[in-house]
Amino acid sequence: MGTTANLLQDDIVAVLTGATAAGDQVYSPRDWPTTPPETPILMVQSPIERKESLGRSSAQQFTTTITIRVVGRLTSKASTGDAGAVAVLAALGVLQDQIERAVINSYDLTRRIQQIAAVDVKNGVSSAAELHLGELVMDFHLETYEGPENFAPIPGTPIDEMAIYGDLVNVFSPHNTFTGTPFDSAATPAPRTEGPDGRDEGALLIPIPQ
Amino acid sequence: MAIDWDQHVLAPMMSAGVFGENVQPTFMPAAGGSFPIDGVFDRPYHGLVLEADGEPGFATRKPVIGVRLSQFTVDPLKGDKVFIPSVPETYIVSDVRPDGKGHAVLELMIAA
Repeated sequence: MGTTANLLQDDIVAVLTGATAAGDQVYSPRDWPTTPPETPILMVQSPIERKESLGRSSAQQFTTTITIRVVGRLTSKASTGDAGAVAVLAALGVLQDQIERAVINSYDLTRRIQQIAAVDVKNGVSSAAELHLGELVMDFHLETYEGPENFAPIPGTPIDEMAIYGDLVNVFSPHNTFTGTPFDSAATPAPRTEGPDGRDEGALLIPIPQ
Repeated sequence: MAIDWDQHVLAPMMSAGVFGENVQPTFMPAAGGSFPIDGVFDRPYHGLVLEADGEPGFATRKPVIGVRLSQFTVDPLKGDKVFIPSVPETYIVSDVRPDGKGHAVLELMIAA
């Protein structure tokens, strides 16, 4: 199990893998520092979630907005003038376009959510290191519904079989007393002229695959 | 100035085999030409965070070279290049930080 945010995060990693300049360099969550040989790289996290109540009456229901953050990083060597920084900024624009096409166009993602409520984008370029560094931060605010079914307790003991027993009224033993069946307390005391006698005349056992 | 820093401090300290590069770097002004210089080169770890909040940041290097301005007919400028044989790599000067006593730190970036 896991939260809806976990599912959405996995969905976004799946749609982004191979869909952008970063290729399969899509990581989640990735908390190690990025070194230039690893770029271009995408990192996917779900840092923020907000549950907003639908009202005071009945069972608790929420409109839940999950923020999935996609961080893209790339580098470029320096050139005379501003050419290196221009190249980084242009590449960030291409990367943003690729991410938007992959995520916003994804059926796997949109079937899980009510809407993409908003997308916040910011980017930056820096020459403070041996290469021009560019970073793109895209926050996808994904709106979903959550209700009582999302918060029901998970049974501690799994149900692995369902059984139906038949103790018939017209098939019975006049004198015997049967014990050890799930329904022996419901038997008519012996001697008897009709069932139930506490013995199962037929049973249906239904195994439930786990 | 009472003390000739370049003659008494920089020249002996920054020459090849002391703190300077054993093989002299080649300086290539954007205006053209090239000449060898004494230089103290270093490229230490440099971590930085751009747009994302906090960790994880970039883990990279910040190359710099210390030079004697007396070896330049025109002071070094942004956009000039320098080749460091020991790396070996050609760098572009991204900033010039003179210390006022004849020495300047040139901030470098790897040239395309």
